[in-house]
Amino acid sequence: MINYKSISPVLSAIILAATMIALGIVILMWISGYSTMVIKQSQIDLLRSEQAAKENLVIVHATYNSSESNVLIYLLNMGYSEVFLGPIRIIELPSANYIIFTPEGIWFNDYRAKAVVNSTEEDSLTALTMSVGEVSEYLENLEIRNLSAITDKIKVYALEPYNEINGYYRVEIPVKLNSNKTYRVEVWTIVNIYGKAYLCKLYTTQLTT
Amino acid sequence: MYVIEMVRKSKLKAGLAGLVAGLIAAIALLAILLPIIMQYQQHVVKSYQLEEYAIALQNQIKNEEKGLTSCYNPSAGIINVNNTLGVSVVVVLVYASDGINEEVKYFQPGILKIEPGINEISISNLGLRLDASRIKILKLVTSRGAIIQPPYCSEVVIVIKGFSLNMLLGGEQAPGGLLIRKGSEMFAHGLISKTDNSALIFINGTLVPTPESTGTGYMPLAFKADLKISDPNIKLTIERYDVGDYMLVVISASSYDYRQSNIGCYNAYCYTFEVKREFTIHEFAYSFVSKYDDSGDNGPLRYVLANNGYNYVIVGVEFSDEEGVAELYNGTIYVSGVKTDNINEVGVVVRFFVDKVNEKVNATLYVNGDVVDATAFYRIKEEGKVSTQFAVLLPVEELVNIGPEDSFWIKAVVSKCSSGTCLVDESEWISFTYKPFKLLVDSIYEKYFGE
Repeated sequence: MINYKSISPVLSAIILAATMIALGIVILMWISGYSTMVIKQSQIDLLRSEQAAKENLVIVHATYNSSESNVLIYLLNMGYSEVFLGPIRIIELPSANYIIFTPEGIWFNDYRAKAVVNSTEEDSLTALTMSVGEVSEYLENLEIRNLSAITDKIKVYALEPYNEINGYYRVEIPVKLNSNKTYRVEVWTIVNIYGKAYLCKLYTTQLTT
Repeated sequence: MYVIEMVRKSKLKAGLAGLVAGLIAAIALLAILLPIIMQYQQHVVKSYQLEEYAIALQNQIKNEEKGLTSCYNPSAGIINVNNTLGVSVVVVLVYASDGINEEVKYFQPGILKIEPGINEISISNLGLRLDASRIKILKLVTSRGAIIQPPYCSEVVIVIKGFSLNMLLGGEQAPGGLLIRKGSEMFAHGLISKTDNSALIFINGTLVPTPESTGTGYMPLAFKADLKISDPNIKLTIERYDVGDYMLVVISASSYDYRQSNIGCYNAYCYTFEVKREFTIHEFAYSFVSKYDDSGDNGPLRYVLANNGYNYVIVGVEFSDEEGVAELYNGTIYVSGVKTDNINEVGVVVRFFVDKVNEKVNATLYVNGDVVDATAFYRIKEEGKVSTQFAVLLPVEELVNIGPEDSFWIKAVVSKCSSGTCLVDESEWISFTYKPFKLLVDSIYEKYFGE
């Protein structure tokens, strides 16, 4: 006959209380962490929406210079603050001169941006680099599901309001296009939130060669 | 008894402890959730404010686009802009292209202004070096970010009571009517209607050229006015060969010809009106169809056509016909309240083909996916004279939610098929403002014929 030694009721009460306290702490921490994440996402979303609502970038015209194999886009920043010009892609050219987000068929075209001040074209603008923000939902419209695929930083150009630089911007995308064809161009702006870059607003245009 | 009392007290203490613990837990939970609730509230309020701000900004741009009617006269190198906004508009950038070369001019704010009323802006004054007669694309960007792209105009556009007209002769200009002498002629063909009484004839409608009647160089006439007026120094001759002009005329004449003639009309009864000899013009209003150039790419699409009608719009295309080549044209015209890259979102879609050899057309109109009867007009190419045009009548108020003064977008995609190969050409999205002539036509009708 086996003789079990009974556990003290005091000890069992202490174990039960400790378990409940530990569980309570874990749940509270989870709720606290979740609420912090929700608040951060909401703040990012608001800041991004605010920038998207206020910025006013105008694509004046897009054209193709066949002799130099360049797509030219003329841009004016009609807003009151600087706009970060982000990735640009020509939808019909998925493989040409990619620059970031290359895995899974996500690509953008390489380009140069120049300011034209008082009718004088200046040297190419200096590109800024920004780390991509972690909040995945803002990349989903680019069909980026695998965030680990993003290894590069986003290259952006700061575009000043037209009345501050007294001019406009000229973007050159070195690509060779076929004649008698229509191409769609996507231009993204970027917003910098807490030191991270998020896609902000999509502008589209098209050109026929 | 003592034992029972002890147990009761012990339960009471445990209950109180539980209650306190519960309260503490609830407060802790509330303290954690409160920031989320506050953030959510802030999110909702601010999102609403931002949406309002974005809509206000878009409306400002839309109002400028609507309030600035413009056209470009390449022979004179003049851009005519009628500013109906009542305030000055600042232009900060002008883009011009002849299809090969392009120029962009930036103007410091305040230097180039479009004052209320009619403005004439000379290409040379803008500092553009391109040959004015060769300019195909012109864009003016305002300080709010609106882009004005003037179509070609043959005459200065007059905007009277909000109607875009190229010519207007009313009772104010010719009290009692303008007497037209013997040897004069007026001709019109298309989807026109007639009302007459013993003294007056009232004709209005959209015009379509017919090869049955020809003008100078045997061009197929849509409209002709060869008018000799009592003053021998005044002689007016107009000949029009395009699909889609709109005309209204009130005359008194002792005799005239009005007969059915469906050439150039698909799913519509068209008529020819002709008056010769002496007659009197009491009212005359004419609107040229706007032609948006797409010839720079050497594709089969030359122009996108658009004009207002009585309570409808006319949208269409003109093809770049090659001499001596028999072709079949296919095309799609998209009409949308918003500029979109997703053609599946477009509410009004017109699919058509033009068989130049057999001089036949076919048009199908889709409104939100449903097929609706389409009324269309066409002009078949005649060697060395005119190129092929196709246009469709869209009662936009009835079909989609587009009302007077609303701007909408038009896009055309055409393909030319010859010897088994097809060449596709696509226009840009073109903004057009719906300004029906209904009020003008009805007011003139009531003036002469009563309600």
